[in-house]
Amino acid sequence: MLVLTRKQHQSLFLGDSIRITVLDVRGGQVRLGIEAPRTLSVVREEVLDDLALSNQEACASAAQPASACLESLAEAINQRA
Amino acid sequence: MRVLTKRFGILKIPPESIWDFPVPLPGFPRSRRYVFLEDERIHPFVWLQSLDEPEVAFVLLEATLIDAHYAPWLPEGDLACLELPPGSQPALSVIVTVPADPARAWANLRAPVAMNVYRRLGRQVILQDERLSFRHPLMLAGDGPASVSARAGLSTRVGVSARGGREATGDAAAASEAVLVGEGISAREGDCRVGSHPQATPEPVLR
Repeated sequence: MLVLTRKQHQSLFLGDSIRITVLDVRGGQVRLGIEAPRTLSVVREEVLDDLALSNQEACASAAQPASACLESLAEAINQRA
Repeated sequence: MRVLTKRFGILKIPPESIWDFPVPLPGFPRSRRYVFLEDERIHPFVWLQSLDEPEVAFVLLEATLIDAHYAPWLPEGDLACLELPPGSQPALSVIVTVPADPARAWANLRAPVAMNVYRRLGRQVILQDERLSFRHPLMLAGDGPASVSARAGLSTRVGVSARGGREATGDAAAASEAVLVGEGISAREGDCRVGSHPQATPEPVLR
């Protein structure tokens, strides 16, 4: 891991097109400004962790042998169309 | 190739059915290869079965079946690994979770699975739009949640089939199925078909 220290208002560049600026530092929180092409996704780590949990929950629910539940849900969806 | 799966037993997978998820699904870093399994009884749901981990499988649904206007903005950088032709959009499916009460089933609209159905490449994309829910309820008020729970009553009343709309003669078979299901053994092994993907139409032929 590359470790840098920045003060408020200082920034750093990642490659040619990504710039991260420390906007504000107070109360144990750092406010970051991110300038990057719209093509690049920016995700908070906890969102990724939540997604991992959500996927694991989905997988666990899929492991239950409840085909009848899926069938009745499928019926309901097909009847909507 | 033959692959062991927890839910479907041993499957014969034609190599041309194998999907690659170059960026693994969050939470499942060891699974990169998957196959889609179709079972007409649960259509339009499909199974996404991992070939790298036998116990890993997900229920997927085409996103437009939940919201016909589902067309979220997708970050191009995330789509690069799908190798889509310029200007074309990926197919989008969502992962479905079915809890103990099936009427509460939900779909993850915030992180759909984006797919290049012709190259069989897929990845899950996290969207920024916070109006899209990680837990979007599948059932609408008009679907009659009570009927969904009643019809799926096998999980609580082993031996009793509450399948509304099915032939009465199916009840005996359904009852024995219910016992097998209750014992944790899927009575459906061998009934699933390895599919391409519901949204895959035949590739256009260049002449």
